[in-house]
Amino acid sequence: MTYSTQALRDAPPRGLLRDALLAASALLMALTLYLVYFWAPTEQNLGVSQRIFYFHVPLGWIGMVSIVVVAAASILHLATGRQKWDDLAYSTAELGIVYASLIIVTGAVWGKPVWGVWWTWDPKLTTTLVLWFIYVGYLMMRSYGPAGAQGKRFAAIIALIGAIDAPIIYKATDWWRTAHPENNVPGGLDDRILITLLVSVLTFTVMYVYLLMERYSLRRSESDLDELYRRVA
Amino acid sequence: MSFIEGLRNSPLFRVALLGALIALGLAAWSAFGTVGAYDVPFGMQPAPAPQAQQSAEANLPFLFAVFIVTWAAFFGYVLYVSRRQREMQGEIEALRRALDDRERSSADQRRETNPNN
Repeated sequence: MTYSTQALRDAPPRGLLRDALLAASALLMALTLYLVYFWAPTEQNLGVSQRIFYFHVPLGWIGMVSIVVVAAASILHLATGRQKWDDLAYSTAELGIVYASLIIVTGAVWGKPVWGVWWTWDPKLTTTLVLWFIYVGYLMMRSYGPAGAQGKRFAAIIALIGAIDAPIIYKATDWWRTAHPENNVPGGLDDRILITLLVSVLTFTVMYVYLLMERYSLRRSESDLDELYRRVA
Repeated sequence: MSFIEGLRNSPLFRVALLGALIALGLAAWSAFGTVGAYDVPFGMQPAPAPQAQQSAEANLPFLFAVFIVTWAAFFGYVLYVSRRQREMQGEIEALRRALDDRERSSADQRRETNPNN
């Protein structure tokens, strides 16, 4: 039996850590929904729409973290040339675009009752849209760019440029006049609102790590399979 | 494969399109519901907003829209990943068969060229 067939037969078992993360995210999500809908008080000025905050802020946080992870993995890939870092960058970028899309959609749905418009060219919204385009650009480069190592290097450069956008999004409320609240780090919030927000951020982060592990594992298998196809051909 | 064709065949694009359609539908439903509440015949003063609209629960559809869109996106993505996993399993099976056939045929060839072994 050759190495290739042996590798195909010895598929790695599903990790215990991934199962634990899935269970933890399900439990945390149930707790979060209880806190959001039944425990957290209704904010007086914004009314019930303020509860969108508990979805929108964690999504925003993860969308920004994702591009930094993509960039870090891309740097490691450029420095070492190892396939696993490129797989991590690709998986994170794919998940990042899901989160970035959700930030924009949830923001638009929140903007309508609060500002009266679905969209405005507010600096924070605009820089977030730029982040979305960076993710799209990265994935398009991977799909339609040059094949092999060259395409991976080009995409890594896009990710490095994209990472510059993360601190700009974060500091947008300080640098420009914007409709978003000035405090990025919540301060002066009601204790129940703050606890609900922190639990929600934790929940979405655990779920993100779980989804990333799943996607990364799939991506590794895809890369291995491509390698096997190359050997068979 | 052209760019448009590639995009159309991409499962991620289909999931994103489905999510966008759901979001658009919910948003339109919420918006038309609000507009309809204030509709008056031409030339008349608009009726005051109903009390219910001014209460804290007035924006409940927007909250549910966010909830549904978020979960639809996550479920869509998990479905995409699990479908890709199934497809890959099929590819692994096909590759395994191809490798086994190749090994078998090379073993047969060896036996034919050297029948004493």
